[in-house]
Amino acid sequence: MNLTVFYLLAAAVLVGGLGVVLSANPVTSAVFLLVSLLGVAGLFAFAGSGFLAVTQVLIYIGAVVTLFTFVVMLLCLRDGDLTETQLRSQKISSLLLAALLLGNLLAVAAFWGGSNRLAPSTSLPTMESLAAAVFGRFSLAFELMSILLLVAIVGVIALAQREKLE
Amino acid sequence: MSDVQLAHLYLALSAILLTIGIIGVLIRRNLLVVLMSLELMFNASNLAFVGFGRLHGGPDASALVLFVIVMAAIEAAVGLAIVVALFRASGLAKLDEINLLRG
Repeated sequence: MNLTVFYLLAAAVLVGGLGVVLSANPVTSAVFLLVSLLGVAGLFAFAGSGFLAVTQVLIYIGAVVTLFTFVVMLLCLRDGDLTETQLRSQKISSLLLAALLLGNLLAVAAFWGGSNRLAPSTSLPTMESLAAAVFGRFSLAFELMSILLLVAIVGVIALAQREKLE
Repeated sequence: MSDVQLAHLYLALSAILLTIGIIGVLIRRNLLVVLMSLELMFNASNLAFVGFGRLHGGPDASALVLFVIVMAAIEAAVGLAIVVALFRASGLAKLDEINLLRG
């Protein structure tokens, strides 16, 4: 267990996240999002969930970030669209609220002692046990998720073709 | 380095990433960047799940993370479709300029 690897990946995640929020151009934001998601994939692998790391790379980086980049280019934003006017009071109150929430969450993360109701086990999730869980105990959630995917596909097509339908 | 300490580190990182995402949603005006910040928040929840799953073992956390990833992909697809439809209809991509339901 090498902690240096963890801190490097965590730094990639945080730098990527800050880059998404702070960069003015959406294309730069998308690239920073890619860095952040790659870091999260590395952290999944670091925790021993190799399958989740592969899924993260395939779905997030292969599909979601590509989709974002496509839409950024499709919209062909002008220069005026990139400048954002922000109220000073709104910015300050947002940052204050976020700092409050961060303090709360970090306190929980620091003082949480680990529950003793679930017996800790050292066995890492294998592909077999994951498949047994997804298609066994979570089969209802799995079916609902497939219905949700179908609804989303139909909805996106309807949104894209609204001019033709009317 | 025990598993409990590692779970603490994952929780702390997840908290920071969630806060970055919330800041992005609150102070940015660009719709695309707001959607990207939402993706950051989904990833923060996934990191917390993976940290707890590492602690308790078993496949439950991985199954939940899988469902969250699918949900995030659906959210991105529908959200971006709405952004494209909105931009076609009004030519606007800033949140504070979009203030009409049908116009």
